[in-house]
Amino acid sequence: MIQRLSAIAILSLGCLGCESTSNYVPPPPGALEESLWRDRVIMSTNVKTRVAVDQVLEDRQNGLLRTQIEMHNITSSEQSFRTLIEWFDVAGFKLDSPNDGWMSHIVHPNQTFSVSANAVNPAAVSWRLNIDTWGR
Amino acid sequence: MKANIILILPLLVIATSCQSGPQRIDPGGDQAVTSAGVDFNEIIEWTDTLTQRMLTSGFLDTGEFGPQPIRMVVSDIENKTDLSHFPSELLLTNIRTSLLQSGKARWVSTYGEDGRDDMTRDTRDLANDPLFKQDQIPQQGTASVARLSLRTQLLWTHSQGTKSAQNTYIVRQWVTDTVNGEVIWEGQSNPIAKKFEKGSVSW
Repeated sequence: MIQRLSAIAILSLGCLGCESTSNYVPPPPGALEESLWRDRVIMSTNVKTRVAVDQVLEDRQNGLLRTQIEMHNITSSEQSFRTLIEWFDVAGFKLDSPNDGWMSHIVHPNQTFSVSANAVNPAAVSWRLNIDTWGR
Repeated sequence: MKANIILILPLLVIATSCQSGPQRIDPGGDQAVTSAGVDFNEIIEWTDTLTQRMLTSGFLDTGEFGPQPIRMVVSDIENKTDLSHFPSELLLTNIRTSLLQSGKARWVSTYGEDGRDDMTRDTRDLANDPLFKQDQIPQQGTASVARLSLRTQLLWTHSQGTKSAQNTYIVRQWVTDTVNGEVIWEGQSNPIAKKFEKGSVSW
């Protein structure tokens, strides 16, 4: 009887373990810890009350740094944002890009959206994202 | 009468000072003019998107077209929009600069439809001119031939309702292998759409 109970207990524990493992969704391989991107996503005061960052991905493809910042509109109204990504070399100097400029985004209520960018200069090792509201 | 003039003069001075002259603005900021056509910051958006799509597709990294930087040339730029003075050079120069900065491509300027420079040919024409040092003149048959060509089309659709109208613009580009004529990459920008009341258009 004791043996049977022990076997059931072990099986139960095993099943619980399986359940908790199956619910776990690992972050994508390129996902950055928040401590690594917190200081690189600069939001204006207005934006902070309207947008939340969900995840930041970063990797190097074909020798060029690329990043994707996934956010969502936390308000229940349509929002217009503009974003600017700057790239930096290993010494911290800003790299000029011909496509430097604010990009505009119209985001629906509660919509998730991504800002993705590729450095065109292989010397880029870091980036900074500026987000501001956009008065269309 | 004198009293009237005294009253009017300060008003004129105030009115004149209220008229604002040209002021420098952020071209992508809130103060930028929005037209029914394509504006400066939208061209930058297009070039950023197209450059990203070209660089991430990997066609420049396959090794199929020789070692990097791969020689490219700008082919025809076809404007199929309603904008007769579309600044296609602005679009092309940003894409050209980006690909050059990436180190993956280099542009041939001796022929093509944008960014041409006749000096390569003109320098060779100096051969046998006694004014010039002949050992500094490049030999014949040393100018580069592009392996890939970049072709561009600016496309437009126009929709009309009873009160309002919409212009939608898009850029289509494709890259051809000049050895066999095969298209090895094709991409489009995101569409830029402008809605406006009829009769209120600024181009």
